[in-house]
Amino acid sequence: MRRKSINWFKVRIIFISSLIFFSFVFIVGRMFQLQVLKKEQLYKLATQQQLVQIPFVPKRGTIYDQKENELAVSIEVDSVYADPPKVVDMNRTAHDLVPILQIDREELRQRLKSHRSFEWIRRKISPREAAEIKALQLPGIYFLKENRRFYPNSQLAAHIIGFVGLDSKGLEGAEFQYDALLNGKNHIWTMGRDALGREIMMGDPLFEQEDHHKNIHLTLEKNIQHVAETELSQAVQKWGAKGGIVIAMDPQTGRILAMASYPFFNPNQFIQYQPKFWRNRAISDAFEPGSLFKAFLAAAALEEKVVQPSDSFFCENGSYAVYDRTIHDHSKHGWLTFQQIIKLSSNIGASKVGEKMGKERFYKYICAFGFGEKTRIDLPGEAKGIVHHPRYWPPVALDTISFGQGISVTGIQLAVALSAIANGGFLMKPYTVEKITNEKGEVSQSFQPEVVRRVISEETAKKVTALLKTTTEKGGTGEGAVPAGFEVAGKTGTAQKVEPLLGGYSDDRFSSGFMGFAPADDPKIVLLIVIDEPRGESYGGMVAAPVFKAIMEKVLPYLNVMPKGTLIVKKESDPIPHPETLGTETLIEEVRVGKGVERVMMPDLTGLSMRNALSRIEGKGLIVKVSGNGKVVEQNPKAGTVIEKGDICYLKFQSPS
Amino acid sequence: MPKSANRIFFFVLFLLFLIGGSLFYVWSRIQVIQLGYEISNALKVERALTEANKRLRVEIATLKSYARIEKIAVEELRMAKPRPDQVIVIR
Repeated sequence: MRRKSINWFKVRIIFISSLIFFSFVFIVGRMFQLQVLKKEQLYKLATQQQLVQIPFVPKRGTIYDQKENELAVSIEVDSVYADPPKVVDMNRTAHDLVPILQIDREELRQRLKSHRSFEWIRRKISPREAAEIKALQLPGIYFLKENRRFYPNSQLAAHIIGFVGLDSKGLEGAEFQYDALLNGKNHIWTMGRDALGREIMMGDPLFEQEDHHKNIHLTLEKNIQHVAETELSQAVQKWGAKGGIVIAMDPQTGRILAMASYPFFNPNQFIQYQPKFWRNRAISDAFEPGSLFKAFLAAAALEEKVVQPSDSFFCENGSYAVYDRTIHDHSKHGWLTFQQIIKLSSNIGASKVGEKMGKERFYKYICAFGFGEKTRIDLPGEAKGIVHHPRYWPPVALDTISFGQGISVTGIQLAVALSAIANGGFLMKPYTVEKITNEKGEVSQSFQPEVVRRVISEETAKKVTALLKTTTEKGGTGEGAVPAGFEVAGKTGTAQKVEPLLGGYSDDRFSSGFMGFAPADDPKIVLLIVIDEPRGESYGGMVAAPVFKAIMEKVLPYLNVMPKGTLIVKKESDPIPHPETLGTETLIEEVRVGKGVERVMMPDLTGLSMRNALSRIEGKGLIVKVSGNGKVVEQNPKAGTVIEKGDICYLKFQSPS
Repeated sequence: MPKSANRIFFFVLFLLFLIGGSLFYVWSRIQVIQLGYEISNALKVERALTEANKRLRVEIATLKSYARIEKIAVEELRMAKPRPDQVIVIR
């Protein structure tokens, strides 16, 4: 039997076909494994090799003042860290870094010994320090970009602006209040990478252009704030006081123009100060207002028509026994009109006015003026003070609260309540943020003045203003608060401080205050000054009133309110000469100053005859006093001075012969 | 010209076009990559300049600090604040 011969050709065909088939199956299988099963993992690996991801630290918005001056800015700085396993020579690294960063050598060595791959050496270092370390090219030492908050004006408005912690988180002030808006988002910038690891941009940039941080524009005015802080610190140092506050507010709108609490702190180095320095005392500390409160007693009494300014009260010659207490005045007074009670700040007189008004009615106005509740100012940490309901008042409370004892208020409450008197009776909500803008500078939110309620009528407000004007007149307690050439309405206050341990009131610890507004008839600014525990002198009229004067005389011209007697000269570049100044070198014109106040400039009358001179000043409401005959040789007020109706004008004439 | 020579000519021309087209394609890709490098460098420079600008603005703000100006005016330049009667307003 013949064996069937094997067809090798066919075998080879089958073998090769099978080989190809299995190879194909293997390839398909491998493709399936790579492209389906391991897809995610391999994509990730490829991305890691082909793309470079640059993390961007979130930007933090800028805080500006009313005039767009930067108060808080974020800049990118380097933070230095170590990858300890990659540090080659630990001793040399520590030796090189210590003198640059001024850090503890042993602590640094401990960090470099760590087995972790990331150890902070120092965060947010200066550009100079970063450059020095980079120049050393130390192995295992790397840098990361972080944002550092910088306050270019140091301590200026630190209590309003606040500060941020190491992780760009707002911790105090507006930084805390508007933290969520100020902080931008984290984002990552993705770029291609070539075989040599160089970055290469292909296609559209793969990152968000906007990181949605917002900028905050405060109502504060850098100049007013600087003046307020300078004068406050000088006064506190002069009187050896414990502290002090100043609040400047626009009474018509409730905008806070300046707010300062002494002692100050530098937000750039906030950590070097004790936390008590960070507290914004103007809104968070409650204190007894003392005689400052008489302004609101007067407003309530006049609104309720309980008294008239001319009504007289017997002031018991300086000592008045009420229940278990004896109320004293600073000096003995007999009969005083209500106007004099306010002018001379009589406690006994105020008590009697309070008694006439009654608990319930007085309490109604205390609440209406906003005492005992938060003003809702847009800053953190506001206190509401202590105002009890009349049902809990001890019998003598009505008398003592009438002159500001037995009630606790905050500085901002006083400023807001006084603004209600200054603006014709409206209690305004105070605010420190004018608007919020996005990173392109477009306004995303703006804040408008908000009337909380009407407290007193316009007529009463005018009457109270007239009473408060008497305080700053000659013989009044606030005489020292008036800057030359202005009219001020205000009230002094000297409050004994409560002894927390012994109970009762201290005999040698006072808080001295003055609050007022100017110009009295068209208020542009309300100002509150409180000096805490001055030494040597305690009267508000002596301690706080001069601060008020010093601030006002600098701030009012800045607000375009010129004092009487200011020389206003037209710019030489102005081509229009005024007819009254022809023949003189300086171009002087009649400029109307202020709003609602009739003020004009004194023309130059030199060389004019009596008839011509008088016709020039006719209708200006001046009281003219003349001496001599002939032509004008001397005049007072001088040419160019701001004059008002009722001013006295002296003209000296002399015959040419 | 014989027919074969004509054919060769067209073939060479075709080859030249092919090579030229390929070279152009490669050149354009190189240009794209080169521009990619330039863009990425420019973006880095832009970022650095923006930061430098910000730093300079902060420096301006610091130099404009009233406390500093007042100190220089009073201590170095011996200037004093004018009394209200010494002020002349120019408008």
